[in-house]
Amino acid sequence: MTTEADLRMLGDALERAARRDLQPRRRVLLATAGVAALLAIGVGAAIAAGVFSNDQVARALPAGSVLFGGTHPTCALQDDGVTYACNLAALPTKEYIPDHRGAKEPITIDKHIAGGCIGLDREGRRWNCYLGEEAVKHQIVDEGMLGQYSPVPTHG
Amino acid sequence: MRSLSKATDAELLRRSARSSEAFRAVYDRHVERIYRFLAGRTKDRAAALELTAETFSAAWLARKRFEDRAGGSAVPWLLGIARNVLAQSVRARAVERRARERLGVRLTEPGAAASPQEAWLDGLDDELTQALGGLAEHERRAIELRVLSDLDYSAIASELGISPGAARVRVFRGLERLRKQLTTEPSGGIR
Repeated sequence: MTTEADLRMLGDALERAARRDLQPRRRVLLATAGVAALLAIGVGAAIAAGVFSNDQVARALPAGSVLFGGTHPTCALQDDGVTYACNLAALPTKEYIPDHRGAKEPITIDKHIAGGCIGLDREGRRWNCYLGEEAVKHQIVDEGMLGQYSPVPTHG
Repeated sequence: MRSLSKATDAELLRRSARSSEAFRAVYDRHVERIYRFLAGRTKDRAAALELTAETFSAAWLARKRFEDRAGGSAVPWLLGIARNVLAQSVRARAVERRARERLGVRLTEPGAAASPQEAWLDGLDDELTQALGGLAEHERRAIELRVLSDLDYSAIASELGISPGAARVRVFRGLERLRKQLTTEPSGGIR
């Protein structure tokens, strides 16, 4: 392998580690919301698109992030078999984000972080959501976040 | 807010308090310089890669303490960390990796790194003295006042009898020249 490739991979590793290092801020918020423990259940490996229904994924949005509270999402698994296209009946109002494009929010199923969504439009009505490793590939959540116990929606 | 590509290093490091992407931008800008500096000292590719990883891991952990003393550039700061990492490795006779381990940065196996040797530090201070000596007197003095005496630009301007803007330019240019002298590419460069 060339040194250039090594340095690029080192950059990737460093960025992943840095992202992990920033996570405690969110964990502290979770802790203050009453989470006593983080439980890894191997969701990352186990969850795959199609295993969960569109309705389950739609419910996962407000369960995962305060931002989706009161937005009444509906989701539909797309032909690629991994993307859930989600639309919110009501725009997000619980947290102020001037532009939701590219915003990343975790989603939880059965009180464990199962994946995440990425905002597609400024107002925050349309989101693409992914489960498990697909959410990691889209850099919405970190590998280490998958499967963590998260019984209440997180703040950004 | 400026895009990552247009932001200065200092702005990126401020943003990196909450953004790994901002820090990655700093890494992408300067990793080759830091690697070349370390490869030039160690003459060992694997050791230079490990020390580069340690330098940037330490920089991440220390990023909130970064003080902009070089007109927005992080190069002098990163080179300072690299020098410390190198010196610590030689003192401990083992490649320093505490910051990397604390952060959990995993390297793909770069091969067995050479054991740190005193020779890695040979002429390191001479190099700096020589590099400083290679600057024009007015630039060397400006850098000493900024970096060693920790004066702000108004005080440097007053000391040198120039405007604060001119003082900032003088320090910036001097540091740029210094950086170029201290990061001379080792033979072969990056492959």
